[in-house]
Amino acid sequence: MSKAKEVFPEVHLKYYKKACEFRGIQRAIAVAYKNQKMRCPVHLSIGQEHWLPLLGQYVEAGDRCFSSHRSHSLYLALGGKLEGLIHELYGLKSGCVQGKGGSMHLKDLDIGLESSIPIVGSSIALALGSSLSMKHSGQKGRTISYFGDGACEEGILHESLNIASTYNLPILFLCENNQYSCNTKVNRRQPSDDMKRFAAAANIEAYTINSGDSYAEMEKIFNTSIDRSKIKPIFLEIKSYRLYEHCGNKIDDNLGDRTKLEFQHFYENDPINILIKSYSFAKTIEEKFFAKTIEICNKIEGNFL
Amino acid sequence: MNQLSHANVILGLTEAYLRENRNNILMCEGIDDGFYGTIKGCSDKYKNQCYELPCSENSVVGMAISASTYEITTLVCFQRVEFALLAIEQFANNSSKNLYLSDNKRLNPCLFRFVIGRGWGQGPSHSQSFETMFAQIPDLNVYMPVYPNDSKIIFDIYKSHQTPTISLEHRWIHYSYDTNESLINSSASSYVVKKGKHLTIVSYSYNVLLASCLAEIMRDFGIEIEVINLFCISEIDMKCIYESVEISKLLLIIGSDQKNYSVESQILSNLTIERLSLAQQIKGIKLLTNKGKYSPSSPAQSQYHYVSLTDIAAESCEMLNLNARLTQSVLERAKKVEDQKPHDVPNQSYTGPF
Repeated sequence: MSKAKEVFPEVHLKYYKKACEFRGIQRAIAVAYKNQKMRCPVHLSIGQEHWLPLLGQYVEAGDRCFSSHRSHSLYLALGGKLEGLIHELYGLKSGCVQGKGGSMHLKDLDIGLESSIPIVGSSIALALGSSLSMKHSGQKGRTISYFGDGACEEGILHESLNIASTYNLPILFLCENNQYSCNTKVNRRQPSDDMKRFAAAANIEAYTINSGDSYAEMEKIFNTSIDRSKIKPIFLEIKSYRLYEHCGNKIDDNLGDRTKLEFQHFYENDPINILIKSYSFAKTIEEKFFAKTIEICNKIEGNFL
Repeated sequence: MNQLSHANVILGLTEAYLRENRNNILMCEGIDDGFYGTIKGCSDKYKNQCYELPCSENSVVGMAISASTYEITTLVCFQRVEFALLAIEQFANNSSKNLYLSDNKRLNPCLFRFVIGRGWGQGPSHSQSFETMFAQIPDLNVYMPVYPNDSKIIFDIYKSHQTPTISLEHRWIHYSYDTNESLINSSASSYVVKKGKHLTIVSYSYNVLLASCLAEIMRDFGIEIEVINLFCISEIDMKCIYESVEISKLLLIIGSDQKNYSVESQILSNLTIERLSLAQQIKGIKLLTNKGKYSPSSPAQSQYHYVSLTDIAAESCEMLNLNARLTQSVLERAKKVEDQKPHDVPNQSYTGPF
């Protein structure tokens, strides 16, 4: 059996499709961004999409999510409308944040995306408040705090883990370790690339999902993490890799922040790239959503002229 | 008239807040210690609604402002306002921005009580107030109470705000009592504490008590000073000031922090921009605030740092152009009042440490 078939058994077709959707949409944003009509800093998460369909699967109505600035795929995974995202990037009032937020502040209260905040770590405390409110009032629902490895260097994470553990708050700390904060690799910022060690310091149970894990493996860990986070704090680290530059629409392997060899390795092992290469339906979906997004962009840009 | 001290009135207000709804919670570091008597016994009486806080100010502020968006309401106490500087990130980034970004769908009325220290060796790190720093954050409501009734209004008004409220409480106003004038006020804006026509003194927080004391001394000499308690710092109510200055034509503004980018500067800016013709009619304007950059810890040195009753008296006499004999008499009276207690305590019974 090929590696692709091992990683992507057909029983998880819904996840494959979603992940390819996210890739097609973001690739289209990268293309349209060149036209200079999206006048906001765009933070793409190309390379980080593979696990996000699972989040969409497990989040229920009434759950509240708090995100960092890199939230395009998260917004889509939670069920956010594509038009709402694209219109927001163009700064239109019909955007999901009425054109006030742009790429870095995506929000849609109807799908439970309460906040996306570009100040690293800032939204973690807001998630803590949501969790405290749910626990104190007996309100049903879950709180998910989504942040990156860069946020693990901020004091607010340690404060929040300590409070969550001391108060035994029901919250899922979802840390996506894409290995880069802006253009700086984790090994230049931290003595270890294991983010779970911060959870351990606060006596919080922690799990890991690796980039190459199958959906069956990821489902198992997600299920456990989400389920346990209903009654206590849980830390889940997702290991991934950002293929595009920190902010903007380009691949940045020519800047010297990462080696071409490293980039090539992760590009070739990117779960979505493997999927698209291995299955024609995956390629079709990716291209379909690429085209659909470009069509929305063209329509908006046509109105600008 | 209400004969309860300010601290006891706040205690009553806090108990009423906790009694009102089990989803109203109180958070404080050292909650069992009673926070200067203002929440004494609450953690026993309302155990399930009282949360001890770790030393995690930034996360705590974010947690409190967010929790108040949802099912519960939060009241947070910090022992000194300087600790809130560790949370300026959450105040600046999240206290009111969520309302803006959510198209007014995410309201988060909640209350923060931060204490400003003075005297008894509080020193440079426990004696600043930073009111203008907080007031610069859009839609963050900042009040500085003087009398118990001011705190009653704050405990009432914060619920009707869409965004968080900060009450900056000078430690020494915990010993204040209501006056006839303070009880009459029912709004969350500036009001006249002492009526007068010869000089307008605009102040806030503890310095209002000093200005009022001077107004009473001056009355014995036939001079009427109007004292205005600014009360709300984030939105200065200029109407009250204009009405007073139109009559007195003399304006003395007493601040609590640094002169640069201060409340005093804002008042003068509003006056000249909004009412230039009135500003041109004014015969004298003076600003008075703390003399040094930071308060020294030593009692011997700190007595020269803060605005004192005699400082206000001296400035007032000069502005009123009183003769030397009258000035000397006023200053002697002011000095006599000051000498009734050491300069570094709010009253004779105070024994520190905070």
